Amino acid sequence: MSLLVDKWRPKTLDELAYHEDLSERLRALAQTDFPHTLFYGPSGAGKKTRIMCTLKELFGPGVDKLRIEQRTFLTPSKRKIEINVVQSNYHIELTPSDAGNWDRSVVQEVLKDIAQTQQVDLNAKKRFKVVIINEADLLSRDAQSALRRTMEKFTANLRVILCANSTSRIIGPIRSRCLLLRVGAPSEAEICKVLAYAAKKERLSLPEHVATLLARISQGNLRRALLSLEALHTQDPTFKTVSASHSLLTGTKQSASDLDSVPRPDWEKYAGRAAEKILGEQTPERLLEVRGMLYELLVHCIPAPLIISTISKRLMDRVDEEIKADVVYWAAFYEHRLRLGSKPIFHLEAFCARIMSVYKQHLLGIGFD
Amino acid sequence: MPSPPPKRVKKELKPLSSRPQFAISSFAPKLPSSSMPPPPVPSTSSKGKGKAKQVEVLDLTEDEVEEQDPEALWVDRFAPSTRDELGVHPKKVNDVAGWLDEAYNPRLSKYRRLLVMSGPSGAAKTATLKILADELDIDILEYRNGSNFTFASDDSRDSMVEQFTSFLARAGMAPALELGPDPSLPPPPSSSSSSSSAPLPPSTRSKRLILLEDLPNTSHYPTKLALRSALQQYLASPRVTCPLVVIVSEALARPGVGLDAESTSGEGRRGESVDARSVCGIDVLQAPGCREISFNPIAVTIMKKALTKILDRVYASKSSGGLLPTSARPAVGTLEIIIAHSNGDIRSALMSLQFLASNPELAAATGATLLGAGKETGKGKKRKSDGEVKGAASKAQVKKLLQYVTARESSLFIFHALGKVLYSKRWGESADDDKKDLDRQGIQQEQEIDRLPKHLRKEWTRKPSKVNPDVLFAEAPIDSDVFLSYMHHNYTAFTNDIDECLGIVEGMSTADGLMRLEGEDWLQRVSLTSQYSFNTAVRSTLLHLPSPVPRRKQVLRKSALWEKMRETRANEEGIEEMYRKKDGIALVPPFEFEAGEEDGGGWRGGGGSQRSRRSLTTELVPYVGVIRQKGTKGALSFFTELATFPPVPSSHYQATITGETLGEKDVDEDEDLAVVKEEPEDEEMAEAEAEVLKLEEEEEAVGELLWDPEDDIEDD
Amino acid sequence: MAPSSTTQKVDAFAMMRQAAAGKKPSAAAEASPPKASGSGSSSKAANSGGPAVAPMFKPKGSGLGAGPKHVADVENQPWVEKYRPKNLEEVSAQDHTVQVLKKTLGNSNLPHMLFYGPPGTGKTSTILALCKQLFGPELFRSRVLELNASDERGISVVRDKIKNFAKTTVTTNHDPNYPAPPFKIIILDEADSMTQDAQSALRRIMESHSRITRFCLICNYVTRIIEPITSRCSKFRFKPLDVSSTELRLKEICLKENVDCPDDALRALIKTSDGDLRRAITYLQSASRLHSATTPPTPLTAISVQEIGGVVPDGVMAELAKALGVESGAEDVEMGEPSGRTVGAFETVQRAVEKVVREGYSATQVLTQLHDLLILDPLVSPRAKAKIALTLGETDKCLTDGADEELQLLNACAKIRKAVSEAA
Repeated sequence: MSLLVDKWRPKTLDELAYHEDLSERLRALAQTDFPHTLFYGPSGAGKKTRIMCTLKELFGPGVDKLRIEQRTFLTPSKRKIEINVVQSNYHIELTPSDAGNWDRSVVQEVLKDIAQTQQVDLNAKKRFKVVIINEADLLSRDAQSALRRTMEKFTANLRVILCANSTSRIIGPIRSRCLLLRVGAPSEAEICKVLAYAAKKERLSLPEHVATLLARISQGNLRRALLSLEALHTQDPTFKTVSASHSLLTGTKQSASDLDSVPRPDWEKYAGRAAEKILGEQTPERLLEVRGMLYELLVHCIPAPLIISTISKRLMDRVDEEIKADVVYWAAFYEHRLRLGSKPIFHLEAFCARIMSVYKQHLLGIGFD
Repeated sequence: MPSPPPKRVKKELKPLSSRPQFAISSFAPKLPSSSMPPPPVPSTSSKGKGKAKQVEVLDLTEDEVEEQDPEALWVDRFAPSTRDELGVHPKKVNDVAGWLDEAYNPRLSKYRRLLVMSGPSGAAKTATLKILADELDIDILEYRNGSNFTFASDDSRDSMVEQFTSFLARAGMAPALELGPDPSLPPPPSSSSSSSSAPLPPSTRSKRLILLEDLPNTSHYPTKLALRSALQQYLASPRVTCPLVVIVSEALARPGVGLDAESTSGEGRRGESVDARSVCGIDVLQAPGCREISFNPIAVTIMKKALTKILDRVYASKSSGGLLPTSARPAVGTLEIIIAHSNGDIRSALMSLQFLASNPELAAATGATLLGAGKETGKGKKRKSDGEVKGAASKAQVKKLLQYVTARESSLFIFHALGKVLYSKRWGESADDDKKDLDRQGIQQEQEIDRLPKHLRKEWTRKPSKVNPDVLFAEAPIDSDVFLSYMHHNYTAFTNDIDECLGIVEGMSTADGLMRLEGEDWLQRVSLTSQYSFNTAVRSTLLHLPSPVPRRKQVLRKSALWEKMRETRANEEGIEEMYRKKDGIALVPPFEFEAGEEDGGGWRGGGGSQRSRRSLTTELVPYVGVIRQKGTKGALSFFTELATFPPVPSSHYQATITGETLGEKDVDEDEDLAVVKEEPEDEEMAEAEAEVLKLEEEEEAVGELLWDPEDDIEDD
Repeated sequence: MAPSSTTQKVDAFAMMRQAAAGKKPSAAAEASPPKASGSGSSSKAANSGGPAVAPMFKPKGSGLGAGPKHVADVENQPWVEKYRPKNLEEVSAQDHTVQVLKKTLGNSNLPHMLFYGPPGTGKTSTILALCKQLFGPELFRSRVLELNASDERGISVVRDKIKNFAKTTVTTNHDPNYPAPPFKIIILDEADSMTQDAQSALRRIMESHSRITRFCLICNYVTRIIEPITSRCSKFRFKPLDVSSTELRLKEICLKENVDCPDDALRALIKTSDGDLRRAITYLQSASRLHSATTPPTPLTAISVQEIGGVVPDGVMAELAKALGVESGAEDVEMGEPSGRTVGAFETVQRAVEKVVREGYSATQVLTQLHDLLILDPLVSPRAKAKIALTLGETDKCLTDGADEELQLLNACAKIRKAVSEAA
């Protein structure tokens, strides 16, 4: 009972449905001595799928034999941290940022281990092993410079593949040592194509407008598109509930109910409702109510920055042109604050209070500036 | 027990201060200053012992007391020596006694291995144990670690715990007689009550217990873990021969300090107060062999009785052996102030009392005046006395002095501090209040404020505030981020519109932004940043609250923030758990399952890659919750739970602040908030005297409420 | 520190000689471990100190120094290392500095030095070339210690490693072909990331060991070096490379490596690397790798160079600029959509930003390029430019702190748009 998104995931470079030129490059690179690479691009664009396809191209089917392990590392202060590690005979994949402040120790230890063990498999197509580092942009600067050192030192039997959402937070020395490969989000048409492919494989009849709608709300995130297809299908096997004249498809002004009637995850709808609450009334009591909703979102493990950006997107859809810029300004402002502080609720609540205040002023016709 | 290898003995010859010491109580080391009043020490026997051992005399009689060195601390001189003298509720004493009794019952001893005595400092925990041990003829074997003052590296700290562990192993599992006293200790002094005189056998008593009072540094995470596992081992070990008693002096939560750099995963984020649970861990406390008996602070009435008794002895007339002239005796009023300030800590109260007495000038002043007051005035009764005038003059002095002496104890309770900020009282809001607050303690007096520049005046001019944030910061009982979370939880009820809310919550957001604990040196910065952030938040709250703050019978409640953070983490951990299961949302998405092979060591048909945490919580879990909604159970129902949200209330819903009301131990002396107060009965009271009495009354009220958590202090 | 005993000194020499001979301290050496940690006198401490020294040497030094350690992979060797100047003559562009330094070759006296300037301007190359010319390959290992300060920047490194190296005396036997002056050189790369404490410790060491040791500090920002140190050093400023010398160098490498690099690709390379020669060479190598991997190999293109450099293509930038109300250069007109759309201005910005973000371009890069685009645009008023600069700065700070890229970019763009439209 694996998920659609896993079931029909491409396994080789040939199966990839879009960014053909990139696949072509990867194929070419795999023939040579593969360089250190940095895959970057938005979430759900297919970075990891491409990485795994590339590995297959490099090493053949052997990479499919995976082991999942929990590795324990000892921090300098003798504290144990556990990191999930996925590995085959040819590669190892880890997410050092899971270790928080101790990512540096993790990077150093794993890479040293790998670098010092020669490829044991004599039939291996390459002499080196590959280390895949997820969420490389979340690594601390310390961990990044440790990584840089190791990359320099052990080029002979080690290749590093970094996976990141953006290069902004990757330090220059690493960027300059890696081949940068950008994986842009698929276009709407490309997502539709993939959705149609998956639907065909599953023998579902997926109306075109539904596919388009799913593609649109996925905002270029293919994983989401596929997941929402499956979710929608479970709830509504014939896709009757999605009308072809949905405002998201026709491009007319969106109403709150229209925004809610698309298959989104519950938390997004809930955040949307919080946004509506903000616009509905601007009083301390309402703020208190919104606080309750914010807490609810946090308890459901939704990252606070995502809460702000989801609420602000909804607000931007709903407020007048004049204060849209204000909304985005304050969203950016408090989202930044979130990164500085340790109590997300303060900043989320401050954001909501701010928007309430701005909106109230706007309604009163005073204008904010 | 295998006697320690020679090498070990050699090691123990290091300076006393640098290693743990253990000994039978009859030659017990001098108690650390943080423990309960140790029994009185005859001056003769303490000579020449250096910092090391002194004799505990557990059954001192009153006659002996009077022969004591007048310089000795009263805490030592007037320590309780019998059950009756203990200021502890008899039930507690019986509990402990019963436990001790059962611990030596061969049939029950398996279930009476570890006794955790918890309670605030000065609640007579140690004294209770010592007295009972003496009554029941039990030897106390105490563990002390002496190296608190060396800057221990990680290694040596760890080894301290190791030393403790090995001490436990040796002491607990060894038959009584083989355990000789530490060879490096000076020979035991003889004393009237100590039944032993030679190193071996150390004691004629057959029953022993191990006392652990000087806990290793449990704010150091590895140490704490080691301690817990040592305790667990002790509980589990089949060879244990004597019970272990751990005494935990509870302290208030100071999360900012306890916050470890490693806090992302652990208890660090939560307020790490020192209590039985945080020290021993829940596993230990719930073990069948463990029992926790928690002590309450000493009740006011009992403490008063005890102190009065002591005063009676001290200020007895010369003929009957009194140390000080009766005329210098502090008044009942003074005594009550001291008791109220002590928060139920009898040791602290006794210290204050002695200090007061040691100041002859003051003692004279108070003695002359307040003595009269104390002797002649019943509660609220009118009286006329010679000392009256003088009393008025010195009363302020006593008050002031007591502030210094007991400063630490008189810190504000969180409830009170919160009320101060959230009611944001200002001068000129109400004439009645102003009159009351004039020259009142804890109120910032009216002062000239520089006028704001013209362009700021309209928006920002406020009446002078009665709250001084700097003082508040110093007195606040908890760290600023806890304080802020409480303020955050409660502020909306005190505002009238959204802009006020904005100003306040914006201040908190700024403050939190300042408190980032990151980088190598965060520990050095934390004290400074917390001060800044406290001030930022408190001042902006004071500034933005309406003036006057509306009174709507607001009830202050406990912050939900910590609980929500805990829930969040629990859910995160729940998701983490799922990593290891194969319910279709594993860490690595398997592509093809080959029938029958799923249960093999590895994932077949793969090429999978790790899912990021973010995608897990925001995409996979929410969708999988929907996709697998039908017939879910076990792990998946957890996902469904995580994926779905409660319905949003209709737009007419009026939110209110929820949560446990603040109250327990969190008493306020501000009449506006909660405390029900009786007006002095007599209207004709002289003004100066009225104030003295009012003070007494107030403190009395506080005191009584303090020890009675059941009291509903929320009533307005 | 207490002076080491005689035997320990001998050990240190042994180690140096071995190193000079191009061998790593072998098992034999470990039996009588080299005294490297300085403080510990037990054999255990020395043992752990020994191997720990090795990583302290930057690997790139190994290519220049005595024995090549793991350059077996010549094919794969970064061109940056391969084409590092072998002597001062070969150093690109920094004529003034090179001139001064050449003089020191003759008179065997050298001051403490501080090299500063933007990355990729040849600071490390210059000092390595100088050292090589001073000591020759034989003595290089024993006379030059290269430390990367950001590696281990704690005070303990300064105390132990540097101090230990600084206090060993110099040997006299040397290759007569090199001047080999009687001192050692310690190169501290990235010195500006050393902590203040480490820097002050360094200062004292500089004083007490100046008889036989010269320091060369390398940093990007001279202001981050404490005053007492800068005043003890001769300062050399390294300027960003000019276009012609970068071009010259790149062409030379293309020739040697057989890379087909047309002029437009070369121009893109120089523009993308922005005066940083190391970056230019790295990009060149990556690009050539990509293009030679295809069959048959294709000549480099400007697009692939930009892609490798993570640069946002001009077309995308022009479109974004247009959404912000700035019509840049005429050549991109065909990229734009017909104007006069009905959606609000804010939404236009929103769509444009969304598009850029979805393509995966990094927000910092977009901002940098927006800066280049807008600040030079003659049609944008100075006032608007000032506001834009402010916005860009603030946004950059937020991004550095890890804020959400899309929100920040959208906010910056909305503000820029406002600034531009207000001034118009």
